[in-house]
Amino acid sequence: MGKILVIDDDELIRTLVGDILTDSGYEVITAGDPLASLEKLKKEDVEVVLLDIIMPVASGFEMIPRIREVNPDIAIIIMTGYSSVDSVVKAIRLGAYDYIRKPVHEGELRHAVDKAIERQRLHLENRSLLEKLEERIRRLELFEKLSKAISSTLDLNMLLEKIMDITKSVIAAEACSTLLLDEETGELFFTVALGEKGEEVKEFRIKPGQGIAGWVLEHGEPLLIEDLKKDGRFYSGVDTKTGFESKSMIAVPLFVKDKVVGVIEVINKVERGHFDQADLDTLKTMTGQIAVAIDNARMTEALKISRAQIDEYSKNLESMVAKRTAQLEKAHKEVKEAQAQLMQTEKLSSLGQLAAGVAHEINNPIGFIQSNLKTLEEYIRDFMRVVDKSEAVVDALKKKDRNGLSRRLNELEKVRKDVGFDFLTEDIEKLIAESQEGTLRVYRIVRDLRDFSRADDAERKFFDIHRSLDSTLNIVWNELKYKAEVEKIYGDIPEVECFPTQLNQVFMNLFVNAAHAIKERGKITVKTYAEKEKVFIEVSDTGMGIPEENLKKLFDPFFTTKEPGKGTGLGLAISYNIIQKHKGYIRVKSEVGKGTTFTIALPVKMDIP
Amino acid sequence: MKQPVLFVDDERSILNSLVRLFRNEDYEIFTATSGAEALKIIEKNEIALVISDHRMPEMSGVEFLSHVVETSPDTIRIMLTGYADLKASIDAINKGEVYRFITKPWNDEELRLTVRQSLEYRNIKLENRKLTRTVKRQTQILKKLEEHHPGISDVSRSEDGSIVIDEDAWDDPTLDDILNKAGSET
Repeated sequence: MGKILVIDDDELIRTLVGDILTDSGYEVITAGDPLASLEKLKKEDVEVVLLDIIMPVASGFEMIPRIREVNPDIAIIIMTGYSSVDSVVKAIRLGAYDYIRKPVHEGELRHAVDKAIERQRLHLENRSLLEKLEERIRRLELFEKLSKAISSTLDLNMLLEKIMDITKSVIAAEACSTLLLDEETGELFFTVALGEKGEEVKEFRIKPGQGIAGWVLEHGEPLLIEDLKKDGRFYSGVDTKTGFESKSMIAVPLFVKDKVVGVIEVINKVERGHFDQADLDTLKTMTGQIAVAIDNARMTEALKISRAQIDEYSKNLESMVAKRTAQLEKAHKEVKEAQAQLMQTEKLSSLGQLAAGVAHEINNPIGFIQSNLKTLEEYIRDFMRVVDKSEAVVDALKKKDRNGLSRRLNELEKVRKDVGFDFLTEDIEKLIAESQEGTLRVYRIVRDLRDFSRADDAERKFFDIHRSLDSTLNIVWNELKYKAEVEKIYGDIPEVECFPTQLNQVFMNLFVNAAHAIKERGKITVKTYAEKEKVFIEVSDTGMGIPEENLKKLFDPFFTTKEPGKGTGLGLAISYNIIQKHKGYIRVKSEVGKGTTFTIALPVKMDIP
Repeated sequence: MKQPVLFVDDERSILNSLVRLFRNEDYEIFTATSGAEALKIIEKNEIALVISDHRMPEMSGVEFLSHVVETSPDTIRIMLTGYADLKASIDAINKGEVYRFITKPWNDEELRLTVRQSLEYRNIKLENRKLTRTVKRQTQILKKLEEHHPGISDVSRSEDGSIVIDEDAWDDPTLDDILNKAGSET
């Protein structure tokens, strides 16, 4: 509670008033000399002044403004002997609060003082409230500015710059900066630095624990330092470089999700020089907003990047899909081509195995037909000799030349003997018959070959499997005949929807394999039967059989037990493929030393578009 | 004397055409439709030349000809085949030791000529062997003579070219004695 100063030139009144008020519990100081009282006012915490109007040196009227000059909040009560309304009005106009009349009446005095003190308290409280209100308004305005800034820009740097700009003006700081944490190095770097040397400051990076900002980063607590010179934590390196003089500072940590992500710094209060608790409070409240803004901006930035990436991806996706599709198509085409190539290779290889037989079979008849024709030419020449002589005989007969006739008959006989006429007449028939049979055989082989692999059979059609088997058997017959006899057990089967040329290839493979399985001599059985919309073809041999471990690998491409160069190892793999294409299946049953049976099942209708 | 030749082929028509081809040649012609049958003929007759097919059931041409190499090495072997892969061809040369390898269809004149030439070659070879044997025998006789009459193989001549006979040698065994002795030794 403040003191009460009594200013009166009359000592009696001073004592009287002092006693009354002291008794009432007030602390009282007195002054007889008005000018000396001003000195006391300056030194003491005075709440109320009781002021005499009529005094030598300076009147009460003169004193009022002077007292107010020292402290405008002091309540002044004037004491006046002659209660003229005029003087009271004058005093109040000058700034007095109340008046009491002399002689001083105890109750009146106490009442006036109590009232003045009460009023004084209210006045002070009001003023403080008003200040607080102003502060609130200021903060509200700041937040409005901040939120405007936050909502108007999502670019983090621009946003921080705006926020710092607002902060700088609100706090009235000479310099203001945001330092953010570099997650990789743990260092702080200046994102925004406003103030005289702002641009230069940006080059600095603050290590954890270094300077005020470093301390705040490490401790996660705000710091208010009124005088930096006296604080050991201050790092003067920046000032030394920039030539800026830091005197006072507030540094506040920026929290995003309980993690310090940076520090806000304000340096040097404009005019006053140093910051106070109010500034710290303001900054503290702001940093919450700033942190949220940073978080938002970062998220937005991340979102933006993601968005851009997504845009990029979706843009690329189409071309990527197209590219990939093209690649796949190309690969598919290549695989198909390779497959076709392999099939062709295998077909050629199988045909190559047959070539020996076919060539032999064609060259044999051609050999003897050609030789026979040559012989026939000689025969005819011999015949002509006989004919010549016969004509000579006929001539002699016509001329009835008896001597000539017997001579010519002798000559004819000699020529006939010479050329072996009886043999010729007998052999010429044989020669022609044999040659004709030979040409027929060549014709058949060629026909079989054509049947076996003619191009117009490449399309799908209903075809007689027996015809397919027969033409294939004819082709491989030359290969088989030295190894085995072939038994055909053909059942009553319908025509099957198929690619005949491809089936021929499968059958040829099975026949050739069967022949190869037979070491000396054996039997190959071809059996057909129909069952439930399916046609079955069995090819059995009495060969050496296939060991268990090879059965599994039988249909694998390039699996072969033949010596190098003899088989491609593709025959059965391709056969398997062909049968699968026909929606059928191929099975094998084998016993080592007894023989092997391949069974093919083909649906009568392929049932595919 | 007619030279005995043998044709082997599982195909009758081939044999017939070959018989026709050589009907006017001075050969005694044998035919066989299998290797086994042909080997029997070779056993009984001294066949000068054999022409064989390769692809035949049971016994292949190469197999047959390798038998011939063993049982009748002086028989000329010719292979006449419609087709032979590399292995058969190599085997024919290495195992069958064929003199010629002819493919079907053949050229009549060429085949006739080949047969004639190869028989001629055989005759010369046999003749050569006979002569070599004679020369060898005579060399041996000379050696014996030299043993008994050193210097006898050295015929000395006088200046005018006439043969000089050493009269001291007359007491020694006669030439007939020596020849008889050498003959009984060889």
